[in-house]
Amino acid sequence: MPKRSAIPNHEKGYFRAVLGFVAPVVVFFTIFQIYPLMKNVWLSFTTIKGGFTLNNYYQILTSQSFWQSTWITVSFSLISVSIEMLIGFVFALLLNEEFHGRKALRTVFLIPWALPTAIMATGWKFLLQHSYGPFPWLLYWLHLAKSPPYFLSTPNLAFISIIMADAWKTVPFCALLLLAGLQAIPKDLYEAMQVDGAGWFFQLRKLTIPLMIPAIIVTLMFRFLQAFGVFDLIWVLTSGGPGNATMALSPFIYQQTFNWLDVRAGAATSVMMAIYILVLVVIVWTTRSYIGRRYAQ
Amino acid sequence: MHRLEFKKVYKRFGEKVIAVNNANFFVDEGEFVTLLGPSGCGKTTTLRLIAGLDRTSEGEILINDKIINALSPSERDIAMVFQSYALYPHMNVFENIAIPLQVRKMSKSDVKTRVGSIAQMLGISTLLDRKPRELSGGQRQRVAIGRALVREPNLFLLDEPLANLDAILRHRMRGELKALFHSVDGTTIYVTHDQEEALAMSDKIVVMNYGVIQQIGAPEEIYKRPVNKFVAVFVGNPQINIIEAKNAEDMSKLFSSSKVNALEKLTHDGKVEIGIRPENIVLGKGNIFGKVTLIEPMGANLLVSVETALNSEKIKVKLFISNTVKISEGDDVNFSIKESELLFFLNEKRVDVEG
Ligand SMILES: Nc1ncnc2c1ncn2[C@@H]1O[C@H](COP(=O)(O)OP(=O)(O)O)[C@@H](O)[C@H]1O
Ligand SMILES: [Mg+2]
Repeated sequence: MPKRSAIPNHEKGYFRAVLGFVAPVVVFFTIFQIYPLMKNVWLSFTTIKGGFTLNNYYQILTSQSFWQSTWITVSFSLISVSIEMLIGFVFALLLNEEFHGRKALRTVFLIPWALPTAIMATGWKFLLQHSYGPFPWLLYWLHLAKSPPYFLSTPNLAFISIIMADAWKTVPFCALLLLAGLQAIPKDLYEAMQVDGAGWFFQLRKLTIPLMIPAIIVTLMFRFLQAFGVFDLIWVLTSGGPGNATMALSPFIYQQTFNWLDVRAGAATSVMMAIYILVLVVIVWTTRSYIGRRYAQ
Repeated sequence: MHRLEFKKVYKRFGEKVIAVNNANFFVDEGEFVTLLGPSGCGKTTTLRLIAGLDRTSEGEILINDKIINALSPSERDIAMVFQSYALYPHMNVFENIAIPLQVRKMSKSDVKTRVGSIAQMLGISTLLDRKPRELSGGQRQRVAIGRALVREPNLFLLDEPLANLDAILRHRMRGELKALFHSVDGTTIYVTHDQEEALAMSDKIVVMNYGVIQQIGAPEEIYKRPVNKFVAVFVGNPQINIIEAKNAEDMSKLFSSSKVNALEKLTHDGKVEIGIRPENIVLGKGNIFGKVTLIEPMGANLLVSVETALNSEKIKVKLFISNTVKISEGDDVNFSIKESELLFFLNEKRVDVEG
């Protein structure tokens, strides 16, 4: 006869059931997230022979490419997200108006966002190609440029191209998130303001924007973290070039790891990037709780 | 002060719904007019048409004899208290009340004194830096009223401002609101589904049902001389007793012979009903006999249901007596009806009956 155990029988079964449900997630996370993460951190602190070293960090922190990549990533994220938020907000305001065919437009509007990045980036590459791309030639024919510009092989233009393509893809996403925020604002607040004599701009300033702060912060945070890790768009469109003009951190890590096979430098760069993101999240969270208090409803 | 007029106003939503159906009425300068009717009868829609938040499907709305159909809400100089109060959730009480003044670009110091004096008047001076979510229902309602009063508009619209309050507060605010709006002497249009509120507060009542105005008149007139059965039943608590006059034998048990003759004649034209307000039935006197079936104490009075057998059917009437009278369910009683106060309806419309 089995002895009385600390856990009653039915609870044992319950415990087993819980284990059964939790185990797949734990296994999945361990194999695909925790293990690679640990391995990556471990790699970044070791030599090829397996000894501890800080040399990998020394190497990247003193290299110009790392700091240039950091700068490109930060400026890309700041510029593209600001543009996307601004345009997205305008589109959200438009799509929030009552008009014929609004539902259809809202659906069509989302297509760029629904496209896989690699595919839309290939499309943009075609549009921007110097030799046959419609975009450079259009500018030329419209006399906006003296000759068809080399979008993808001029450093500044390549950077601008990436921002344009990123905006094209993610404006709908920003607009959608912001639209959800707009629609959560009760209609009668606007009506009350109109009756009180307020015009469109007054309503925007006193009602829409303050009430949208939470939605704006969420969208900003989401987009900024996404932009910070940008990879596929750049890889397809410019591969980080010309030179290193569009080499953001993610493509840089890829290049170090898989093109130059300098796994340890890549690992150290990844860890640095993780630290950046951590700092970012902390900043966002502290400002969020501050602003949250200010605009709490 | 504004004078408002509706001329043949219709408001349709889609094909089926006619929320306002040929509304004609006017509201004189400084009048306190109540739109009264059951839920869904078109009261809010009527207010929204006045405010300009909805556009009429047909007809004209005039303020001071000028057609205002084309004016936007912000051009109409009307203040409205929404049923939901529509307070700005991110602003404190001061900012909420100050908004109409800020729209008008009033100087900061003037805004401060105006909001201060309105808050004083409404007894919310101590709440000025609270957010709406930190207020009780009654306090929110005061803020909403403050926001309407602060810019001294010519026309006030109030959409069921007391509906969300508990019974005690509702009764207290009823008196306060009446006094308040008399003292600020603006023209006021007040919406409610509560007939007691309408009777207690209004100079004039507009009774609506299914988008159609049933009657316009002073509270006393609405109560004593309702134009049809709907108004008679809707106004008055407890409800008026309605008895259908089917045959002379039955009627002669209740009424004098001259009334019975007149009613008899009337039944040739259609369905005849008699309305008797509970207060017009006198218990313990008279020669109508019945049995008490239910007693509902209502404080100072008892509401007594009495069942009486006529020749062909049994009828039930409700009446009031003082709570000092000793009476219990099952008692046999006699009563009489004040014939001068009866209301007669032919096919639901009120008619006068001689005799
Ligand atoms: N925007 C709208 N669309 C369609 N029907 C509406 C709309 N607003 C009101 N109605 C309808 O019009 C009628 C009157 O509504 P309302 O004026 O809100 O009534 P009340 O305020 O008297 O309760 C109702 O049948 C309601 O369903
Ligand atoms: Mg309503």
